[in-house]
Amino acid sequence: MRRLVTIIVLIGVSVSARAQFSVPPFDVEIKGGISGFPTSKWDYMGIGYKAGVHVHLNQHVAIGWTYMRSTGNASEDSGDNIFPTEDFKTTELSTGPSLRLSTGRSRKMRPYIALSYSKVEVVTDRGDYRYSIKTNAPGASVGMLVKLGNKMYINLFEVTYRKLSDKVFWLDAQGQLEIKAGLLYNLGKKK
Amino acid sequence: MARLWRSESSLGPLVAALLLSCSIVKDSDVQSLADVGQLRITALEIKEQVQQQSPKTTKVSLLYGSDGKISQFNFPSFAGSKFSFRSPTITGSVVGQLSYTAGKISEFDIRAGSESKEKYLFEYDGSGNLFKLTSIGTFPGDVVQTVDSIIYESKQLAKVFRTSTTSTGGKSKVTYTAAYNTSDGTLKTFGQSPTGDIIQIDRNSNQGGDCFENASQHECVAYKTPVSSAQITIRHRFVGMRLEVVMMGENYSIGVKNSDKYVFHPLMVLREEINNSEALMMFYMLDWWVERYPLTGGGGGTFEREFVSLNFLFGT
Repeated sequence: MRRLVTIIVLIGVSVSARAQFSVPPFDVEIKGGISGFPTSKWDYMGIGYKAGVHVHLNQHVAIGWTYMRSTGNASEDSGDNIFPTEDFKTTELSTGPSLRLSTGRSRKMRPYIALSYSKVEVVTDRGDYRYSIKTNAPGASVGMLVKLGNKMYINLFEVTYRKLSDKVFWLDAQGQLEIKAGLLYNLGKKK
Repeated sequence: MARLWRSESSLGPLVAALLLSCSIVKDSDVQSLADVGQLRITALEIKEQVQQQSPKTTKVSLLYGSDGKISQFNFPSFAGSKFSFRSPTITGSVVGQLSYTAGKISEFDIRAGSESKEKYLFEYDGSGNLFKLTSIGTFPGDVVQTVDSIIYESKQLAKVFRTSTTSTGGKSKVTYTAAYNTSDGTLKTFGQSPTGDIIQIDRNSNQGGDCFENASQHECVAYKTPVSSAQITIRHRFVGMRLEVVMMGENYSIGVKNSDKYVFHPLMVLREEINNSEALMMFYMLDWWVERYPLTGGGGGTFEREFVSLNFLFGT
């Protein structure tokens, strides 16, 4: 209910504000791909999506916010064929501000790097109880945008690594890795 | 509303609102190692895989007293299973009733109705370590009582002196002596005198580290030697830093009937209640293991695996 009220209020503010001052150019993006914890002793790979919005300060610099959510099965590798392996549904969530630096708009191929500081949550459902953590993580991404048209880009790939402030204690992992691809769409007047 | 949807610039705050409002963590979640310690065992699952048959799972329920301590285990019948109690008089379902003195377990009484079938008495020294474990019942070899005196040196398990008494009053004695790895002081073997049998405790080479008292270690292996006897493997696993699975398994040669019995000991289910219980649990699991058809030779033939695992189910 709180989320719905927030959205309604923001829509109202947006509609009324539009007539009063111009909104800077921005883009929205949506990607899909995989994520996981490369140093974990467990076998895990999540499949999910990432959404984001970035406001363009100029044609090279954009600031914004991203939201990533992934789900997969985590299983502990016993290292032999004796112990039965069980899978546990695991969900990741990462959300936070992002600063993106890219080459100019005139190029067809636009490589970029991005720096982020995310709130990261990880949950593993063990049936009768759940493990979870909520922590912060600085992160860095590298990616490539390919121009499709005046406003549309293909995000050919984006690789993101986040260093978690707190270890995911049951997975024994402190680094999160994402590989995604998708689309980006520019909105508003170009800068 | 039509004006809203035509307006590109109105989409930004909407997307932002969706991005900002989210959490998948609940207050009831286990969010730290300290929280893991607050979980309690809710049930046991005993899984058995025998002679290429389909696996069988049996559930053991628990009862807790008003003091928050386990008061009773409800064991179903293990007739026809590899898993059994030490006393052959136990053929049906039984309950294991616990008694406590000064907050520590003093008695584990396995009863069929009003009749006590096996009883274990726990006594502790001034440091809270188990120093005497007495088992009373009708046991193989006409044994009616076993008294284990447990000796510690420098806070480590050092020896177990066992006196077994028969129904006619006859007594026999054996001594188990612990040896530790010189490199890191971890427990290595229990050697039995006078038979010379050795219970060997090895690190799992896939995981490394210490088998005991190390929160990051996940598995440990123990087995009996000499190698010409059955290759018996015990594995226990820490997941989330609490003991979750205790497994007993052996290789057997296809075509050779194997009917080893894995014998229940209270320390299998009471590990968290007793100091040094890791070493003691593995010792008793192997020491009470009944080998019927030892594997001969060091190789050749085709081997299959049988196992019984005790899976501890946790909850809040």
